[in-house]
Amino acid sequence: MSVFTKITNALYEGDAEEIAVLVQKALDEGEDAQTIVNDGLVAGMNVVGADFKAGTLFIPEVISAAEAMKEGLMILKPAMAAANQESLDTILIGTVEGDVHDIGKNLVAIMFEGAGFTVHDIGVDNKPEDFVKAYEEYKPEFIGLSALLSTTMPAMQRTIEAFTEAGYRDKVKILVGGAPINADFAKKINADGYAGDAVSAVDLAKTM
Amino acid sequence: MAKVINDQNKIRHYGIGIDSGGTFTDGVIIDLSNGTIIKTVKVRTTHHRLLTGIRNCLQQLAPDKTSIAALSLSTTLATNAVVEGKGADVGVFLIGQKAMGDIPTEHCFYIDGGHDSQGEPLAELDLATAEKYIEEVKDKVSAFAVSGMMSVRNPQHEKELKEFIMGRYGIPVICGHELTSTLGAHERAVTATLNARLIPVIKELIMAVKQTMEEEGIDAPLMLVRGDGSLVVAETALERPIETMLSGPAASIIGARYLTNLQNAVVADMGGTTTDTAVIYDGLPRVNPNGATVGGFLTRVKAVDIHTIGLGGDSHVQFHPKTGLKLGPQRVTPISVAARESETILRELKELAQSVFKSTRYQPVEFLFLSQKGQNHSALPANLKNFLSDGPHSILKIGQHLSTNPDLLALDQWMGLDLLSVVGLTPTDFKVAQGETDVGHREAAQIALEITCRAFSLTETELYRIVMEKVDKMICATLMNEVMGTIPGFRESQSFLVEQIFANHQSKKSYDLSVKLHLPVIAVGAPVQAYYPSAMKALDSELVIPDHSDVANAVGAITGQVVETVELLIRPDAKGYTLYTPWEKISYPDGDLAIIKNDAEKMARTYVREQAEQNGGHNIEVYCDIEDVKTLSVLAAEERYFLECHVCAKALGVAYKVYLD
Amino acid sequence: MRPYVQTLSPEEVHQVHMASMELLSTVGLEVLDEVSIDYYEQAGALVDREKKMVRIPVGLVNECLAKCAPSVTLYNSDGTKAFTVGGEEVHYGTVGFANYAKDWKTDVIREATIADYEDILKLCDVLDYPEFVLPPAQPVDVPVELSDRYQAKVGFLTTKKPLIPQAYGAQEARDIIKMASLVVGGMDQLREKPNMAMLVTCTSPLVVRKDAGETVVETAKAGVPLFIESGPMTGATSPATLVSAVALANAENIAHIVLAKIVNPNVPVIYASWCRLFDMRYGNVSLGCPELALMRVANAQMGKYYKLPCGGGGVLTDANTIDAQLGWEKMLTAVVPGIGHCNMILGMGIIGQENTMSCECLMMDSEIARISQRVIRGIAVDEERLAVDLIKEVGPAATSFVSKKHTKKFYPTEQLLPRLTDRSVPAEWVKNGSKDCGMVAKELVEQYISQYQKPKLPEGIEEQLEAAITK
Repeated sequence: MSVFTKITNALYEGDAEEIAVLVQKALDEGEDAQTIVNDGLVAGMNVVGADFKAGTLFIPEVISAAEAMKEGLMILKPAMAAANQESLDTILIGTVEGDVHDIGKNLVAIMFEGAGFTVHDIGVDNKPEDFVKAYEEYKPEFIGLSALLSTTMPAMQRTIEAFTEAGYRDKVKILVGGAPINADFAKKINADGYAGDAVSAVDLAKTM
Repeated sequence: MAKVINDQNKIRHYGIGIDSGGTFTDGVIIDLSNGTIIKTVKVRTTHHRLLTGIRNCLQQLAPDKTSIAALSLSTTLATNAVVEGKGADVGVFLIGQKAMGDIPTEHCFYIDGGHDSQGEPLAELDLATAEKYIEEVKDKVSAFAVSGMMSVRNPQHEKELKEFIMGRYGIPVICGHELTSTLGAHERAVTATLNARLIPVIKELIMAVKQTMEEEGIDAPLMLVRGDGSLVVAETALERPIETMLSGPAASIIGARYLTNLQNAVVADMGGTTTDTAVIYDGLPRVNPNGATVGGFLTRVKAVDIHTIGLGGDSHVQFHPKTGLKLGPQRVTPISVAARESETILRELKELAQSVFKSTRYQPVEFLFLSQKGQNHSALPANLKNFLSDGPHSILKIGQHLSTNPDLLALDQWMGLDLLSVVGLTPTDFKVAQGETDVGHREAAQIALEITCRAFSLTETELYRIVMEKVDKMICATLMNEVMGTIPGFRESQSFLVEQIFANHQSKKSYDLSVKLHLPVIAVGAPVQAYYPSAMKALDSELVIPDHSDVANAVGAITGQVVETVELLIRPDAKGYTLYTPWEKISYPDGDLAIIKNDAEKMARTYVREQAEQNGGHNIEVYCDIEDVKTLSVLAAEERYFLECHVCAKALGVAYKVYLD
Repeated sequence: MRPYVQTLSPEEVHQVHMASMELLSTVGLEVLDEVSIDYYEQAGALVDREKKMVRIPVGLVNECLAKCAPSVTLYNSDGTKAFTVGGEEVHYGTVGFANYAKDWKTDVIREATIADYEDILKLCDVLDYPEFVLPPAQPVDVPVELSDRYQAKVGFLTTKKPLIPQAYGAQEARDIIKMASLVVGGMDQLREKPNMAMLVTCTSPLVVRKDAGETVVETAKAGVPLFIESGPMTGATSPATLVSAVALANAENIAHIVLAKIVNPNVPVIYASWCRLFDMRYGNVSLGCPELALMRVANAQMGKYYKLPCGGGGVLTDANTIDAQLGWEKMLTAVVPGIGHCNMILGMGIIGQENTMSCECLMMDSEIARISQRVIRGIAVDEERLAVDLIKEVGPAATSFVSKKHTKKFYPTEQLLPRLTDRSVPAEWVKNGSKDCGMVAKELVEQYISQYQKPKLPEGIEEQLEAAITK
């Protein structure tokens, strides 16, 4: 069994310790860091994502796979930086003003971390101005807005407007999600995209 | 139609339109009752003193002074001032917002205040700090611009600061919310600043024009054209000069519409350097929703959505070994036209015809001369400058005189610095050679073509066909882009479509691909007659070249309408609803949406009517559109979740008093 | 005897109790209301103001619980007794706060309006079950900030049954209590014969929200009963094990009850729970699950351990439409907590977790409640019922007992006479139109709503209630 297959399996099992060991071993044996990411970690995550969509893997398993992925990426970071390999994007995530639900948001944050993004989670009940301030601090490529209450949907619209007002709208991709959100709403409020669950959100961000 | 009556009950039905453009100042007198063009005048624009050209134009028009209902002016003054960075020294206050780029003034100050996305204050307005800054610069600036965060949702702080400055110091102030209601704090700040800077510039011109009118005995309202083609009375332009930016191109579009009486059309205005295209729907040109960019500044000024390509009658025809035929975007003096002014050209052409001029950098027929824009040529090498001091010379001759291979001379850099100008091959020369037009020396044109043919081993027919086809294709692409440009996937397939269309009707092909535009194409501008009919053969669409199309701009200046619009926004909030108007934010706790929409409609209609009247409009008609924006709620497929309501009012009027029989 | 089910042994109850005490005394709760922190501190709790953490020592817990009455009586708005909460009595009611309504005439699901809310309230008022009403809908044609108060206002105007309204903070609590007092004729009357209990939900894990603190304080001051309800989601806001959710909810409930008792030792309190699942596949809460039923039984046991009247969510479903899933889930979560003697079970009238209110569903739920009550009643045993003499009299291989006086006497109470349930033979069923229970429910809704009559209320009460809403 190749080391990549072992890594994929360990990722599927969500075994963070084993991942750390295997990834280090692969590096020591001279494997290229980017290849380990693509053929080992990402390959495993793809299967996890597919099985979750198919209903054979559930949320806790997805979360532990994402955390194992994070472990692996941390070990590979110095090697990748040294080889000047693709730096990964950053995403800023938060729940909008008036909404304190965070379970969905937290899942999305974990999935993005698992995919190798740097994630800044600014928590719940964020005013539009809070998002703008956070953008200025972290300068992410992506912003994820989450809401569970239909009453907070206008806050999403106003958050995007705050970015236009501040002059940042064209510099960042804004994604929206949450139970009451749908693609029509996303279009009407000028968001860049909509995702129905944490796994799709990551897939969408990767295509942008 | 209608008789126009002045206060003394005498019938006035003539209008004067003047367009002070980049090269020429055009003027027309039109009989507003039936659209007849009574007289047209074209004089040279005096770039550094626009008034001279305007006065010359007016004098030559020599109108019957008692019969004028209005005089309207479109001018590049504002555009030029912005591009050239001219204008008064002004101060800018940014309330609660950062400068996100360049603001065209050095006196830029930040103070606390501003509002959030619902129009609630972010902080108290810091007048104390403002006062400090004002004291520092009050003697250095002639006006202030004020811009606040989210002032489009609540202009309160901008209004307070304006009142403070004007009340305490008597210095004029313009606010971002007074100029536009669109998001983009930085853009509003820039727009307000540019506006403030322009005030004395436009004032000077307007006062001068008024004086000239007085001298000529013309007792009629003076209107100015805005970038969206609408007209305003001079007093309004004095306050909001920024809106006259890009009025020239807008006037052409309006004029084209008037001369053809079409309500929906694509307009192409071809000049010597560029072709501008725009679309007219329901009698009004489509406006750029993002605001106009001029001089590198993105503003929120409403201007006609014009696309410009670098194709004109005098576009430089160039052949490159690798990339093939290129047309423009540089504009050069046509060889045949230059030959009329200088005998050297014809002489040196004949010499060129006998010799072999090979160059990797320059075209087979290319002449250079010292640019006549009043600049200092001392940067040029002395021997080059001396040689060209008596007129244009061919590159070959320059090389010979300086005993250098011209390719090694780096003449491009002098061209880039605008110290040297080019005389070269243009589509105009082809037309002159064919005898289709006589603006240039025919023999010179023919020799130039001969030389070019020889250099590229083409017959004259082939050369003519290649270049004209390129012109045709560029025109077609531009027209299609104007109509179809926003369709997803069009941009990527544009060149494929154009090639296919031009390959139609070839034998041995099993298909033809064609495009039909449902909008007629109005072509205006001096060279259109020469090029558009041929180009339009490929597109199955109607072409209209109106009479007097060469003064479409001046016609458009006087025939534009007075147009005022406003958009009010109603949104639900925790307590009920809020109505956002440009002048204030109004809360309706526990409100009834139907009543609020009613109120909003009344306010909107009243506002645009008042604005239109103030701006010199007569016979005003008001329209109002109320549009709900709803979205699908996830569970309830039928019911839709209410996001907001747009109440848009528009007032249309004419710029002169109209008495209807 | 009546059937009674338990899921925790006495030792296990004690273990849960000890775990809760440990949480309360060593970890404490984050209390986001300054005034509430003051009360806790004055009463002897250990307070860290900076971190807003309050630890409640066991002694204080015992002191406060000792001041609790084992039962609370709720009244209708006309002063007649509705029911007593406590002991072995079980009462079924509605739950809220649906944003959507399934129109029983057209089957369309749309956003719930005041009109929908009024419809379901009318039905609540006319039917025998529900016995109390927690506002089933959160209408969208009312400003969000005023929503809870409008729900209370319309509730008081439309039904005489006891209301379990929600308040978001001190002002809302005051307004709603004022409304209740206007309806029954004064604060004294309200305290003596309360027609409402104020709903206070707790945030898990271990948080007393600012609005919750304020509402507890205001309501306790007024002496109006409190319906304190904690509902962690296993695997999300509590650990994934059912017993830990019960222990956590226990700690949170007690913390709020302690606060209430500090403010007013006499205020009646009801210990309730909404413990539920976080489904790991859908990433969503689940209410119709067997685990909910089990936890509710455990919650009731804990309540009774402290001799408190208890309540909680039940008669619930995750189904988004009226179908068999609704049937099995609602039945499961109605009857099991019922035979666990959870005193107030709320969940009627709503489907799709708590998203969509439905009048047909309410109709079915009232049948389910009736059926559950029959199960709860159990089998009565006495000489007469054993009927040995009767059997002797009738003798072997006799035809039937149908015509006997004994049968006539006992069948009405021995057999539940269902309204919705179909028991006809197939041919009869076809003759009657081959209806499924959904269709029958709709017909009955039509029928019952038409019987609705407005409750007798004081003159001008509508304007008074409107005026009581602080805007």
